[in-house]
Order: sequence, then C-alpha cells, then structure tokens
Amino acid sequence: MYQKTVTIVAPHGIHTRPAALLVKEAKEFDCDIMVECNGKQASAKSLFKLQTLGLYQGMSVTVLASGEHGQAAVDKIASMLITLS
Amino acid sequence: MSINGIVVSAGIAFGKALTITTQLPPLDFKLLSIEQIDQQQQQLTQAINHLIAHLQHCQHHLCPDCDNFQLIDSDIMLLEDEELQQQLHQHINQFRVCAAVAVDRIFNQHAAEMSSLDDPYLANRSGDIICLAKRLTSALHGHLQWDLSTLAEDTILLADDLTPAEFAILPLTHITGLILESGGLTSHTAILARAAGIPALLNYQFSQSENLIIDGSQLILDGMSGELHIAPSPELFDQLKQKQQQELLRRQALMIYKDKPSQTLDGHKITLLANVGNLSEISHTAEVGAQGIGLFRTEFLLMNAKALPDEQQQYKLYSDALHSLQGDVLTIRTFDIGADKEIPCLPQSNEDNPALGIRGIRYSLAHPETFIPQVKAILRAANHGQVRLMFPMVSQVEELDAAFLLIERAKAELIEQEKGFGTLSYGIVVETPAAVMNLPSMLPLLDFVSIGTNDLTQYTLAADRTNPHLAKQYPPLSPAVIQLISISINHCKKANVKVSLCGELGSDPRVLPLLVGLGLDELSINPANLLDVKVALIKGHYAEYVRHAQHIALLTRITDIRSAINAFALDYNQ
Repeated sequence: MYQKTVTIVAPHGIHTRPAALLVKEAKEFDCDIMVECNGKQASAKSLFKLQTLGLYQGMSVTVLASGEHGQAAVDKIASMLITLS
Repeated sequence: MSINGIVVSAGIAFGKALTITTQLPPLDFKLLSIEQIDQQQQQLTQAINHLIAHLQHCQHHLCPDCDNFQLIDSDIMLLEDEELQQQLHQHINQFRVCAAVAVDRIFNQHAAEMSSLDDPYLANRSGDIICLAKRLTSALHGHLQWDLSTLAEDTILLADDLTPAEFAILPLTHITGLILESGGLTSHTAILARAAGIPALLNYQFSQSENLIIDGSQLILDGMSGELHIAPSPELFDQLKQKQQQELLRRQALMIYKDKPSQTLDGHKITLLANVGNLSEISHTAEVGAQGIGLFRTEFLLMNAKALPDEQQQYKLYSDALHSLQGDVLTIRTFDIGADKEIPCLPQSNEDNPALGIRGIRYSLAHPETFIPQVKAILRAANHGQVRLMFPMVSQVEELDAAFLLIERAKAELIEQEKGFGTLSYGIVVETPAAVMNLPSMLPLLDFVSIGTNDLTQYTLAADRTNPHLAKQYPPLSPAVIQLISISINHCKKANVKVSLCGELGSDPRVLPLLVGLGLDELSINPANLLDVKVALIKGHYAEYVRHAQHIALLTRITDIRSAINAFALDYNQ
C-alpha cells in the first residue's frame, strides 16, 4: 500500500472540471486508487463519488493505492491535487 | 409504424425527430414486476448511452479548450460513472421502481450531499446535478435536446405546446415538419406553420403513444394523408419521395395561373388578397399573384419584440410594406392582442377566459397609449399608398364610436405636430355572432368588412379554437357558421359595403365555390394556398357557384355539407 497526503491550494477547490481531469488520469491506471478527505473515502475513478468529498482549499487529502503501479498512481494523483485549479 | 393526426398544414416532410417538451410526465411510483425491473434497467442503460452520444455530438461544435466543452465532458463522465450506474440499477432492483424514480432519488440525494459541503462554490455545483438529472429523465422519455439554436438540418419538430412567439424564433430553414400536441387547426401556431409552408400535423397523443418517438428517429410526415411514419421502410420512403416530387411539380405548374385575371368563366371578378404577419411575407405575395394584402396581423410584429415599436418605427415599417406592394392595397389590422397571443412587451393581465377577455379592439380601447401611436403611424403611412384600417373583435357599435374618437385624437395630434397623413378606409373583422347581428348599425360607419371565420367559428359554436379535441366536431363548415357568413354578406350587400373573408376557410380551394356563391367580393388567403384557390375560382361559372351555395344552405348536417363540398370539388377536377 502506497499513500501520500497533500493540501489543496486551488482557490475553488477541486470542483467539477478539475475533478473530471483527475478521474481521466486515474482511469489510466489499472490499480484501485482511493482518495480520503473529511473522513470520507472515494474512488479516484468516480467523479460521482469525488464530488461528495468536499475537496476544497486548505483541506488535507490522502491518496492511497496498492499493486504494481500503485506508487506511480499515488504520485500522479497527488501531484494533480495540488496543481489543478 | 405510423400514427394518424389531423392535417394542420399540407405537404410531405422528411426528417429526424426532435421533441421539445416543457414538461416531463409525473413520476410513476408503481411497484414493478420482475420482468419490468429488467426492462427498466435496460431502458436506463439505453437512455444513458443515448444522452452520452448526444452530448458528444454537441461537443463537435465546440473547441476542446473552452469551458463548455469541458463541462460537457464532466457530464459525460458522470453518466459513465460506474458507481452511479450501479447505484441506479440497485435502486431499481431493490425498491422495484421505474428508472425515472431511481434517477430522481439518487441524483437528488447526491445533490443534497454536495450542497451540504462547507465550501459554497463546491456546494453550488449541486445545481448542475439537478440539471443533469432532468436531462437524463427527458432521455428516458426519448427526448435529448432542449436548445433549439443548434438544430440539425431536416428536423421534424414534435412539440407538446408551441406558442406563436416560440414558433416565430424557430430556425425554420432547419425544420421540415411539425407535429403539435396541442392547439387546434386555427390556433395561431397552426396558421404560422401554414404561412411558412411547413407541413404540420396535430396529434394530441403522440407523447402517450406506446412506441416512443426517440429523438433522431427517421420520420416522414405525410401532410396529405395525415399520417406520421416512424422509421419507414425503404419502399415507403421512395413512395413518399415520389409523392413529394409530384406535389412540387404540381405547385410549379400552378405558376402559369399567377397573372391570369381572377374571375370565373362567366367573368365574375373576385379580388384575391394575402394574409401576412411580417414584412418579408408581404414582399413575397406578388410571386403568387396576390392583388394586395387583405390581412396584415400587426401583433405578430410584437411577439418577440423587447419593446413596443414606437410611432416612428411603425411608420417606417408600414411605409416599407406599401412600397413593396407598389400600389396594391394594404389592409392593416390593428393589434389583436389577447387570447392565445401573448405579447411579452405589453402589460396583459391574467384572465380566466382570455378568449372572452380584453382582446382585440377591447385592448386597444383600454390602452390608448398603444393604440394611438399605431393609428398615427398608419395614418402617416397612408400618404404612401392605399391603406385600409381594420379593427379586430368589434361586436357593437359603441366600440366603433370609441375607436373613431381615438382616431380623431390621433389626427389632431398629427396636425399639431405638423406631420402629414393620408386618408384611410375603415373596416372591422366580423368574428363574433354579435358583430353579425349588429352589422346594420355599424355598416354606415364602414367602408368594408372582413369575416374572420376562425374566431367566428369559435364564438358561434362555443368551441375553443386551440383545443385539439374539438377541431373535428366543431368545424367552420357547420350550418350555424355558414348562415352567419351568409347573413353578414347580405347585410353588406344591402348597405353597399365591400365584404371580404380572411379566415382559414378561405384558403381551402374546395370551399371556394361556396364562398363565392354566397356573394363575397374578396378573399384573403394564405399565400401558400393562393394559387390553388385561384384555380378553383377560374375553373367554374359564377351561376353554378351560386346554385351550389343555395344547395348547401339547405343542408343541416356537418357531414352532408362536407360531402356536398367534396362532391362539387371533385366534379370540377375532372
């Protein structure tokens, strides 16, 4: 299991459009990727679920994944969480 | 598969279905059987796929970097979302409810969860979810698109309700046909469809039909037989293409009659005028040999206007119209506001019974601030050509007295403002039984009369002209209406006042022998039907038309009248 915790800096948080980009990227990986925030967990491949996490500015978010490309997946998604706006 | 409808506007149209609905049917909460669960789940999957395909199609028009494109992207992504789909399917299965109910519940729950987020920006996105839910529910009912500005070419529009104003802004070049669910044969939207030459059918059940008409299905609207064919066979397609071609050739062949004098074989002259609603229609009436305009529906100028055009703007418009008519008569009907014609830029109160309310001349008399500028503009335009002024919905002489007082006031204002004006002829539209009965008191004040059979039928038979359930049983060709037409004509003859007819009845070539036989001097017709009517006129003898009318006057049943009219028309076509 790999994991990384980052803080969201985007002023409007990860709203629909950036979240969609993130889902697109997550779907490139075969492994399961989870995003944890506010005590709730959602698959990074489900926009529907991500929308309910409340990924807004200043929130601390943990990305988790396991398996062959787990490390790469966590790095990629975590970096997107801090660069997307 | 084909369904039947009432022909509102003749012609054959080929195109793809597009439904515009303003209202979705109420949710159906009934418990599903096991087989129905499966069927609802399949329907859900199909609707999601249709909507995704449609959204992707919409994206073709957009640049991939723009916000809109990316927002559509996220809608697509949500629809494709496995978690969401799973929840929907599960909900249908667990609670045995139909797909629309599942969509309503799951999306609303999701939206509620989103709107409870602490960040207001994110919470606001829940509105998008509700919107997507609506679109998906529409898709479940077979409807995909709401925005008419990006209509595909060759579209057959299915509308549960289309107001004249909505019709007026449709991209008509892309619409080949129209199916209306509400509105009668003489509703104003039907009249507009006819005027635009767009084949149209009326069927008040298509949205309840067993077989849903899914957006994008191939349709053929046969506005000759009244059938709507859904996904027609190649044979039927070819057959109807041929029929359409023949109709086109027939119409072209009619052009040779354009410059022929409009009189019967025995030399009885009838003036054939055109009904119009805007300037561009006026400029095309000469192409079909109209001898002028018998009805200019000025309120159509207002339907999508942001503000009422002022005196100067109207003066320019009426002058332009006269200029393009090159000396032919222009009959201007003052604003006929009210009933099924809503005018957003004018104050109108909500009435329980708008057809019996403040409409036509009643509105004008109650609102001199609207009426006087119009009259002043018309008086001034009369300097540039032959203008007749006509008041709608006049029932009693008091209304005429009041209108003439306002006209005197308009003239006085023009004199004071040192603006020149010309002389007008004055007339009324006879469209209530009271107007027919009161003609003797009104005729001394008038130069002409025009019988408006659409409203005359509605008010005589007490049958709402916009109610599709009444269209067949309460037609204008009923003994009561024919008698009222006949009485009106006789009053006018006695008073030596010219009498015209401007209702839809006049646009039917089969009815022409009756109308001419009753003694009308003029007919004002939809430009699209003018040559057909003219051919009916010039083929026969006036004496026979009079006998035909006398025969019909003796008939007491609608079916007998209809048969007599058809039989007479048939004799002449042989």
